[in-house]
Order: sequence, then structure tokens, then C-alpha cells
Amino acid sequence: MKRIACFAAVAVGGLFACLPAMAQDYSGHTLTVGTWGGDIERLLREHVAGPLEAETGAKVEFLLGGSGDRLSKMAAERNNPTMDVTFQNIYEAPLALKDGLVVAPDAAAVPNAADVWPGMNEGCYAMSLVGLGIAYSKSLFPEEPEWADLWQPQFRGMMAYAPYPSSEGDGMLAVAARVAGADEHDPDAAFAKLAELGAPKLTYSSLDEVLSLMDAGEIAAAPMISGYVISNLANYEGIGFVFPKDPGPVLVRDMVCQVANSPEPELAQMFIDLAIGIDTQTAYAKELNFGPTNSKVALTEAEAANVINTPEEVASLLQMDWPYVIEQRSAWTDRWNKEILGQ
Amino acid sequence: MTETPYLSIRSVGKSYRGVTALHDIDLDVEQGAFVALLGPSGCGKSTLLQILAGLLEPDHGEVRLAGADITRLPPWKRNIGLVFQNYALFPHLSIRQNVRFGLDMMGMGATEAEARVDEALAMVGLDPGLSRRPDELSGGQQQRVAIARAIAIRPRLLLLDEPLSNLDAVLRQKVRLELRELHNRTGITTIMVTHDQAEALATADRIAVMEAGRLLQYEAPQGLYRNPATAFIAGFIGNPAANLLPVIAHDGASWSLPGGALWQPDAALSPARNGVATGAACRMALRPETLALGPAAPGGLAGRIAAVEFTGGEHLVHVEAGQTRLSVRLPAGTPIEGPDIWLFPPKEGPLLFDANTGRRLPNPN
Amino acid sequence: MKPQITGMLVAPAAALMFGVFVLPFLFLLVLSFWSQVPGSLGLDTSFTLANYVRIFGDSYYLGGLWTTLWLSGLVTLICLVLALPLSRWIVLRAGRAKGLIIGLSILPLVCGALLPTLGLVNLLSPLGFINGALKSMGVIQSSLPLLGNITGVTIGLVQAFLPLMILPLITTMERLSQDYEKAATSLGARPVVVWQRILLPLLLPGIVAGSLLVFCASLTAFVTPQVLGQGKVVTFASLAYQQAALVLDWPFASALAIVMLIFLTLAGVLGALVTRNFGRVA
Repeated sequence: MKRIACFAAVAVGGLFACLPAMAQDYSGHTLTVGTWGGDIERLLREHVAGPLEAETGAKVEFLLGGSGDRLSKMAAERNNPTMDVTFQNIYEAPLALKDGLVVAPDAAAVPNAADVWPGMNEGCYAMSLVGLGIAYSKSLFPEEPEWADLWQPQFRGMMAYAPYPSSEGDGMLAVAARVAGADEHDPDAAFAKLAELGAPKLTYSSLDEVLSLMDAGEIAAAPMISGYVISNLANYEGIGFVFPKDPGPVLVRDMVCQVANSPEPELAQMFIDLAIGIDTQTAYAKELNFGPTNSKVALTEAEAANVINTPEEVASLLQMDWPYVIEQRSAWTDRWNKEILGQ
Repeated sequence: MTETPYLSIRSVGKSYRGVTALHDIDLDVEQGAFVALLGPSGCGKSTLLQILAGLLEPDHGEVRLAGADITRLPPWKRNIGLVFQNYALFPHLSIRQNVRFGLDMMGMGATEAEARVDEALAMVGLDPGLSRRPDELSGGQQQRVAIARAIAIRPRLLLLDEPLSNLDAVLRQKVRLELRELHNRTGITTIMVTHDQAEALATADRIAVMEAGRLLQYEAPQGLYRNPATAFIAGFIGNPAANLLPVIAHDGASWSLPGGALWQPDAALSPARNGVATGAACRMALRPETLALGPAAPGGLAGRIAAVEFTGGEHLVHVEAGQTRLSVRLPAGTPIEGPDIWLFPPKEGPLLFDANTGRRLPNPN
Repeated sequence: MKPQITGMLVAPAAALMFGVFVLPFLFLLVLSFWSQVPGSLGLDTSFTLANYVRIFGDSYYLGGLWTTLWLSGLVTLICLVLALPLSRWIVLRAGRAKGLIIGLSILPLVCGALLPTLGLVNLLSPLGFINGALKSMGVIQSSLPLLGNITGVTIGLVQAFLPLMILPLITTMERLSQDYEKAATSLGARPVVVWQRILLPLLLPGIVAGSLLVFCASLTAFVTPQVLGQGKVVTFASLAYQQAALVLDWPFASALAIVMLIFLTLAGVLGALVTRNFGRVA
């Protein structure tokens, strides 16, 4: 009942039923939110910033850029932060919490946090679920490939990777380790197995770069984040995307964090609450193919097919020991440069 | 003449972007001569020099040197010496290296080349021990080095492009004399471009006067002075240049002047005696150094003294006559009483030019 | 002007330079002697040479340094060879078109690094214009690899930095009187000899200035090698970026930057020496 009531409220456009009562007026205040540009910014403006501004009279300012920049910014501004809310990666969030840059999730301050799938609010609040799957060229893979299929000799040297370090890169190492029978805690096995794929044909800096070459059959496959690829499948007929089974897709999570000692903590909490609320999460799923972290989101079958939104699907994801991986970052970067790229 | 001239320029023409710089120039230079190309800026003299040097190719015509056609021969094969107005000494080389440059290009051995450098420097009056860089020398010294550099290769032809223009007045007089002496000693056929008529008159064996891309007259300095072919030349040669008085033949005996006054000169200068029809407009050249001043007398031209300049040995008197400013040179000490004065040209056939074409009207007989 | 007034007028700019350039640079220098606590963003501020030892002791980083150095040298040489005749043509023969041509050659500079580089990706790609044209003319069967290797990066860097060579050359050439060439040819020098003995020595200041600019720009170029090298051409700038922005090991990134700066300084000193000893202002 409550769910339907919430839906109705969303349909009407008012969020009052789903939000804690707000009696305060924040006109004259500015909330600074750091996030990625493009579609993500658009959705956040529409479903979070807009309603928040209408509700509180405050102004929401977006700072666009990469998550690494935001992490650096927080570290540099440690004593005097200028950002209130920041969107980070699955591995940046625990790091930020450990260094005291963000506030640990608090269901009392952000009620919707309780609706998030259990165990996901590590470091910060879980924002979206995506999986690292295989984007592949249909002309080279007539059937949907499994991870192990990539190691066929004719595909050696025809992979594309994102710049390392990145979640795609670390995810791929974890997969390679598992294909070799180990896991990410055995870097020698991981790197040795990954090296068997040969040096990448391309380290891409934009989606179009890799997708257009894949479409033409110059690139065989690439480990990519589901959300981005699925949204682009319509543009490129020669490309397919699959969530492999053995091992499953690597879990990659976007997190939304409340910066510690920020100027507007209450507004920040309100923002985050809206972001992980049903309305925004549904929009993310429908338009970006990003899996909702809010367990109460309901999707149609068609929508659900492309995203990770059920507990079973979540359980099938390959969860990495991100804190361990982060510690190895510098050493693994050297190894990646030499053993993977430098072949 | 039966002998082929040493340097022969035939029908050489050149245009740039629709503007004709040279119209069919014909010129012969005998071996060992010193010829000046004289004219105001824009007359084409530098263009002609560049064509002789091989730095420009003419649109039509030919240039022959010692019998061989060099019209399209590249400059480095012509063995011609070139001296520039701003010297163009290579700033990164020493004096000796500069002078030696042409010899190095010929592949001359070191000892012989050094000897030639000594010789060339001595010939221009510089100390052969000079080992400094060009920018440490004075303008006059740089000019000498430039000349030495050009003659060191013993060129068949020496071309000088306004060599004295950058020097101060005193130095200019000195160097132009030295140029002439150098020429006498070396005997190299020399062509000098200049806009200074005094320079040309003093140094050249023959002067080629140019204007607007055409050769107007080509003669020894004396001939140019006595028989200028056009009013322009008359008004250009001499210091100060000849006065040009616009006159219209009124009748057989007198001329009408600008402003309407009439002048009845001595019979030798009358329109009738000089074959000028009544009503024809002319310009009469009156040389400042041949005019006399005095009180009213028959044949005199009435005028008013406007100014008198004292130049040490002479007076230069400026007289307004017939609405024209005329200059008269008189020895210092001549009594001059004005303001009204009469001018008396010499009683001989005058220099008359057609007012429209500027061409010289022939004297009778 | 009184010294006090001059001082007052210069002070704001000097303060800005100090605050925006000198201070951060000093901080960078200090940072390079610190190290990062693994798995954290915290810094260990005890003095250490570990970063520099890592750079000079590891053949990977030395290799990256070497690649960066000779790539920059190659780009400088190509730019010089292309710019000399082009500048000469602009100065001597362009006439009224001169301003337009200079504007066109400067265009890559003005457009920033990314735009022309992305345009080049289209041109050089295996599916791109050049390969397509050559294939349709029957000159080649399979695509030439023009991206993801030194060739592509060199082309990109030459296109980007040619203006840096052209501008100083044009300035020097315009100041150089044509009479020197004329004098030399009249004395028997063929065109090649004129270039060798007269023009090149007198153009040396411009050549050195342009070469320095191109060399330093290539040494620190980041976007172009990254995009055209497709991650396969390792330059010091991309290594520094990787460490600074992705690995977040700032001390190590600073050390990489300082090493680049050392080489930039060396290049500058070399240029000054060459100009002083071999060049002569015309």
C-alpha cells in the first residue's frame, strides 16, 4: 500500500509523502554536489536537485568531473571542504571513509538508506549497481561469450581496456585470476593470466572510440560497465553486451557520500535521501540502465532485463576485496604498465 | 662601331604586378668604363642593376657580357661583384672571412686566398691586419670592406648600388674620390646606381639618366651638362640645377611669361631665331652660373630679389621673375642691389624644351 | 621613472607569479621527497629519495623517459625541416595572403590540444580518411597502423606544435635582410651553400627559440600522445598523469614532474649556449 502511495506521490510530482517533514527554510543556502556530467547530471537535476530546491528554497550547484578529481579535492580541502555531496566509485568510498573525508552512512539521518540492499552501504550510501560484463563484436563472437572464451588464441591482442587504474581494470584482473583458478589476492596469477590476452589493441579514452572500432570488428571485446554499453547498443548494430556466468559480472557500485565537516550537512542528507529514493533510482534504471540499490524500486520486465535489481542477481555478482585492491594500487599500476601494456 | 661592346643590354624589359619597371632598355658599356645609372627613386635603375647581377630575370631582352649571353645565367656563375647600400657584410663572419668568402666559393687555396684578401684590403685603404667583426667598424670602414669583398674575386663587372647613400656628407665626398681612384687602378668595368647627380657627374665616364623605366640620355658628364635631352634632365643636373622658365612665344621677338608679362631678350634667344612658332609653349633652361644680374637694360628679364644665400665663396640669389623662382650664382663680393633687378642670360642659343613633351628643341644650325 | 614607482607597479604581478607559480613549484619539489602511505591518501612526510630511486632504477621508467626524449627530439627536427621553407615562403612570397596563412598555421594552437587531436583520430584511424583513400586508390590492401604507435603520436605532435616553430622563424626571417643572400650568391655561392653558410647561422636565434618551444611542448604533451597513442606509447607526461590522477600517489607524480622539469631546464641551457656561441644577430 505504502509503495503504491509513494508511486502516486511521485506521479503527481510531489515528494512530501516520501520525505521526512521539512519545516525549515534554506533560502540563501547553496548545496555543492560533485558528480559526473552528462546523463547522470541531467537525471540528478531533474529528480533530486529540482525537488530539493522547490522544497527548501536552497540552491543546488553541481561540480562536474571525474571521481578521482573529487577524491583529490576532498583530500586537499580536508580542513575546509567546499563540497557537501560527492559521487564516488566503489573503491574510493571506503578509502574516503578510512581517511575521515566522509561521514559514515546513518539511517537515522537518511531514512531511505534502510531500503538499500543489505551490506551495500560500505563507506558511503550505495547509489547504483552495475556490473562489469563483456562488450563484444558480434562478427567475431556469433554467440554470447563467457569470460573464458576471450582467451581463445585468435583474439590475442584484440582487447580494449580503460586506462588503468580503474574499476574496469581491477575487475578484469579479478576475473582473470578466477579463470586461472585463483582470486585477486594472488596478483601473480592474475597478471600472468591477463597477459595471455596480449597487449590491448586500444586503451580507450572515450566510449565512441572503443565502440566504433568494436562495431567494425577491429576490436574483439572489452570489459565494460553495463550501464554505459547498454545505453549505446542501439547506436551500434555490430555490438553485443552480456553478463557472463562463470564467473559472474564483477560488481561495480557507484556511491554517494556526505563530505565530512561540509558547510551544509542537513541539505546534504536531504539530497542523498532523494538520490537513493525510489523516484531517482527508477529513473536511473529506466534511462541509464543502472541497477537501483533501493530494494523497493519496482520495474517492468523489460526494464529489469538489462539491470541488476533482484537479490539473486546481486548474489551472482563477483564481489571483490576492494580495500585490499586499493592497497595494491601503486604496485599493480606498475605491473599493469609493464606486464600488460608493455608486451 | 665595329667592336662588340663588353657589356651589352638589349631591349631589356621587366614588369611587376602590372607595373612596368623597365621599358626596353638598350645600353652598351665598354670594357673598363665607369658608368653611372642616374635617376630619381622608382626610375628602374636598381631593377636594371639586379638584372645585371642575375638576381632578377628580365621579361624580355638580353644581356651579353664579353660576347656571352648571360641573361638567364644564375648569379653565382656570373663572376660579378656586388656592393650594397647597407654594405650587407655577413655579421657572423670576421672582416677577413667576409672578404675571403668569394674566394672560398671559387675553391681557392688558403695561402693564395689570404694573399688576395691582403691585397683587396690594401686597395681600399684598410689595414690588412683588421681582424674584427663588421659591427665593430664605422660606416665608412664597412663600406670599404664591402668593396674589398667584391673586388677580391677580380670580377668582370663591378656593380655598386647607391654605395655612398648611407655615408655622411663629408665622408661621401672622400669615398667617391677613392672609388674613382680605385677604378682607375683596377680597371674593372664598373656600374654605379645613384640618385645623386653630383656623385654621378664627379665619378662616371658616362651617365645613363633614367626616368620611369626609360633611358633618357646616355653620355659623358660634359655632354649631359651642355646638351640635356629633356627638360627633366636639365632640371636635374648641376648644383644648383638649371632654372626652368615656362615661356610662350608671343611673336617673333618676345616671349610671354606666366602672369602675362612680356620679355624681349637678345635676338639670339628670340622665338624667331630658334624656330619657335607663335603660341608654342616652351621651357627655357637658364643655368644659375651663367646668369648675370644688373640694372635695367635691353634683353633683361625683370625680376625681384626674394632671398640671398651666402655660401662662403659665392652668393646664391633667388629671384622672382615671371612668377617663377630663379636661382643665380654670383661670386662673393658682387654688389647686389634690389629688390628690383634684371637678369641677363648669355647671348647664345638657349636650351629650349617643349612644354608638353619635355623634349629638347633643336638649336638652329 | 623612479625606482620606487617601478617597484610598486611590478609588485602585483610579481606577487601573483610568486603565489601562483613559485610557491606551488616549491611545494611540488618538497612533495617529491615525501611518500604516500599505501592504501590511503595520507602522506608520510619523512624525507626519502625512494621516488627518484624508483624512476632511475626501474628500466620501465627510464624507458619512458628515453621514449619521451627522443620522441620530442624527432618532433622538433620534423617541425624544423617543415617550418624553414614554409616560413621563408610566408615571409618572401605570401604578399597579401600572409596574414591569412599565418592565422591558419596558428589555428591548432588556438584550438587547444583536444580538438585537432580528435580530428586526427578520424583521419588516421584504420577506418579513417587516409586509409580509406589509399585503399580505394589501390595503394594498400589492409589498413596502415597510423594510430596507437609512435607514427600517430609524431604526426599529432607535429601538427600541434608546428606553429611554435613557424612564429619565431618568421620573426627572425623578417628581420634578416635579403641582401645577405644576394651578396652571397653574387660571390659565387649556390643556393645550398647560401643556406648552409649564411642563412642557417643568421637564423640560429629563431631556430633555437622555435626548437626549444617545440621540444618543451612535446616533452610535456599529454593529451595528444594519450589519444593518438591509444595507451601504447608511454610518455613521461602520461605516466605523471596516471600517478597523479588515477593512482593518487602524489609524491611519486611530483618526482616525475621534477624530472621532466630538469630536462626542460637542460634543454633551455643548451639552447642558450648554442645561441651565444654560434649565433650572430643580423
